[in-house]
Amino acid sequence: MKKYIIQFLIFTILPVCFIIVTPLIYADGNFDYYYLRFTTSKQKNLVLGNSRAAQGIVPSILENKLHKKFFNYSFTLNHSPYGRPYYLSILKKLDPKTKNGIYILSVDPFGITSNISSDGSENLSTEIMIGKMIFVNMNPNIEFIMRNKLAPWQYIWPLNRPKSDQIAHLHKDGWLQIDYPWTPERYKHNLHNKLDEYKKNQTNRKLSPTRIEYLKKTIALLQKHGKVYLVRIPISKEMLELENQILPDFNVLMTEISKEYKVPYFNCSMDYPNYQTTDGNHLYKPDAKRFTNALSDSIAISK
Amino acid sequence: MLFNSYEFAIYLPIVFFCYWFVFQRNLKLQNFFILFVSYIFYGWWDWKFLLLIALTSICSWGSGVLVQHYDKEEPGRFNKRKWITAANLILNLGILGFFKYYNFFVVNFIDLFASMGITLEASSLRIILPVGISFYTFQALSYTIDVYRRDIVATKDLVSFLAYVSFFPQLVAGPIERATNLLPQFYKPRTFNYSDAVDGGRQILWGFFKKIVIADNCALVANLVFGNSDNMPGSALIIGAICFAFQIYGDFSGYSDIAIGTGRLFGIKLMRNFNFPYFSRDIAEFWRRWHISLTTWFRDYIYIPLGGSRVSKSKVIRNTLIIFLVSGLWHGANWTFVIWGTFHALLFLPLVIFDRNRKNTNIVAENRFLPTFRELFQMGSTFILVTISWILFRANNLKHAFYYIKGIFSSTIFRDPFCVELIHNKAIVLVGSISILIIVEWLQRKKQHGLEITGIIKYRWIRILIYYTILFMIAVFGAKQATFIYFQF
Repeated sequence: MKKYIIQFLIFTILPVCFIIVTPLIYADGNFDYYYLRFTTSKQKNLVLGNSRAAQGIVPSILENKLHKKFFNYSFTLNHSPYGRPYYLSILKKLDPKTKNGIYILSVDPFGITSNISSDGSENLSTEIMIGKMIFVNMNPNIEFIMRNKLAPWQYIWPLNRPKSDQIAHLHKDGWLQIDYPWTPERYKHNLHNKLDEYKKNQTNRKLSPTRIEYLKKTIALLQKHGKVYLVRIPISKEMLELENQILPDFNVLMTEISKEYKVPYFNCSMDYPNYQTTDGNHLYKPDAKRFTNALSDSIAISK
Repeated sequence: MLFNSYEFAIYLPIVFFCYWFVFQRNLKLQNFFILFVSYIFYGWWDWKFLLLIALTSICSWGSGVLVQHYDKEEPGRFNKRKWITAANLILNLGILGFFKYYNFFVVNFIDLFASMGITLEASSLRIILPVGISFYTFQALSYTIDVYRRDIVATKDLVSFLAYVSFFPQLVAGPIERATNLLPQFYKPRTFNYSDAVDGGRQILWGFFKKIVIADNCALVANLVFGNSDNMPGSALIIGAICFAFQIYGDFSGYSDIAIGTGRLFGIKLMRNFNFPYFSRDIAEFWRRWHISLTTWFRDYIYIPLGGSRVSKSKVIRNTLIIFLVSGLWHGANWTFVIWGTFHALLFLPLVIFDRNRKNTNIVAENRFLPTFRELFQMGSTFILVTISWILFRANNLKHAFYYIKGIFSSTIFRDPFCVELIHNKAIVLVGSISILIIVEWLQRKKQHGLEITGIIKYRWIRILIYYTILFMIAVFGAKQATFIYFQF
C-alpha cells in the first residue's frame, strides 16, 4: 500500500508541474476574457464597473497622465453590477496598505438596477462567478481554470490556439481591447441588435436598493484608501434614451451620492456626439483612448 | 458527480485513503463508508434522486428477506414467495416505467387517438429522469429474481445490500452487476492487492483516454453533423456517423473501464462490460462483446425463461425479437430506439435461424498478428451495419434518421467533407486518436483492457513513458468536459 501511494505521488509530480507551468506560458489575453484579471497581485488604483469600463477606460493612458499604475477590474453587466459579490471581490483585489489611490467607478443605470421578480427577489445568479472566486490574486490561477473548465495546457497543440483574426484581447492591466474594423454599416447593424437585445431583456429593470447600498459601500471602502471618482461613460444617443427610460432620475441619484460621499461625479453621457461606439454601448477603441485621456485630465484638475 | 470532473479528482483520493486507512479494520464500517460515499457521489446530481434509489434498494432487500423467510413453504394456492417477488418486480418496474416511459406513452396515446379524429387532452408531466435509474433498477431486479430462483441466499445485511446497489463506480452507467458476483464481495474483508491496484489505475487511464480524447472529440463532430444534417454533404454525414460510432464506444466503454478500474482500487472486482466489440465478425459476436452486462441480463432473465434457443424455430424468432425490442426500449422512450432494436434483431435472426450465431466465439486472428482478408471484410461489414444502426440510435426521431441515411446516399457523397470547418480542424486529432485506439485494442484484443501491459512490456521506464504519453494526450487533445451518453438511460 505504502509503495503504491509513494509511486503514485512520484508519478503525479510531472503532470502537476505541467498543469502549473503551462498557464504561465499559454494563458494570455486571448485565452479568456477574464482570466488575467485574477492573476495579478493586489492593486493600488482601480477602474471598476461593467463592460463599458472594461473596454472604455484604458489603464495605460491613465498611468501616463496620472503617474500611477492602474488596473481595470471591470467585467460585464451580468458579472459586475454593484452588489455583494463584486464588493467582496474588490475587497480581495484591493491592496489594503494603499493610502493615496485613485478609484474610478463607472456608473450607469444597469449597474444599480436589477430584474426584480414579483416576490421582490433579485436574480443574482450570474454574479456568482465573481463572488465564488476565493483567489483573485494568484498566478497561475488554478481555481479559475478549474471553475471555468478551461485548459490552457491544450494550447501546446498549435491548432488549438486562438485564431489570429480574434478581435478581443485582454491586456495584463485589465483593459479589454476590441479591434473592431468599424464601418457605418456594421455599426448600424450592431446598434440595432444591441438595442433589440436590451429592449427585450433589460427594460424591466428596477432600481435596486441592494445595489445602491453596495455602490455606497464600495465608495466608502475605497475612500479609506484614496480618492474616488464616479464616471458615466458616453454611449450612443439611442442607448442613452433607453437608459433614461429605465431610470430617468439616474443623474439626480448620482449627484446625491457624490454629494453625500464628497466624491466627484463626471457625467459624460451628453458627450455622445464626440465619441463613437461600436454597438451603441461600448466605446470604439480610438475613442476609448480619447475618452480616457479626457478623463485623466479631469481627474488631474480635480486633484 | 462525473468521473471526468475536478470534483471526482478530489473525491477519489479522499475515499481511497479513508477506505484503506480508516475503515479497513471493521468490515461493517467499511461497507457503511462505501454506502455513504456512494450516496454522496449520486446525490451530487440531485439529492432528491437518493430517495428513489433508497426506496428501490430497501424494497428489494425487504422482499428478498421475506422470500427467504417463506422458502420452506409448500407451494399452495397462495404462493407467498411468488407474490412477494411479483409485488417487488411491479414496484421497481413501475418506478422505472413512470420516470422513463410515462410521457412517451401519453404522447403516443394522444397521437393515436388524434389520427382517429378524437382529441384527447392530457398534460404530460415534467418528469426528470433520475440518472442511471435503468442500471440500478436492473441490478435490484436481478437480486430479487435470483433469490426467488434460489440462485442466491437473501441477505439480512441491509448495509451490504445497499452498498451493492449503490456502489459508486458502477452506479450510474454499469456494468449492471449481478448479486451473485458483487454482493458476496461485501461479506468478506477486502485486502489491498498491489498489482491489481496498479492495473486498475492503468484501466482508469485508458478509460479516460477513450472518454476525453476519443469520445468527446468525436462528439463535437457528431453533434454538429447530426444537428445540421439537412445542410451537410453525404461525405460529412458518413464522417458524422463514424464519429458517433466511436463516440458511443469511447464514452460507454471508457466509463466501464474507469468503473472497473476504480472498483479494483477498492479490492472489488466488477464484471467485464466490453470486449473490443468493433472487432466482431458478425452481429451475434458484436452482441457478445458490447454492453455484456446488459446482454447477459436479458439472456438470463428474459431469453432463457422464454425458452431461449432450445425451442422451435418460430419461438426462437419470437424470443429474439422480444429481447431486441426490450433492449431498444431499455435505452429510452423513443421510437428510434425501438427501430434500432428491431434493426439489430433483423440482422441477428438469419444467424439464429441458420445456427450460425455461435460461429465466431474465438478471438479474431487468434494466433496471428494480422487478420485475413476474409476476417477484415467480416469486421468491416459488421462495423458498417452497426454504424448504420447508430444513426437510428442517435437521430432525434425516425424522420431525422430516414433523411440522414437518404442524405448519405445522395450525389453529395463525393463532395469534400472538409468543407465543414470543424471536420477540417479536428481531422488530425480524430484520425490520430482513433488510429491509436484501433491499433492498441487490436494488439490487446486477448486482454481485459487496452492498457494491460505488465507482461508485455518488460521495462518499467517504457511503461511509464506510455502512461505519460496518454496523460499528455488527454491534457492536450482532450475535448471539453462532457457528460456520459449512458447516464440518460
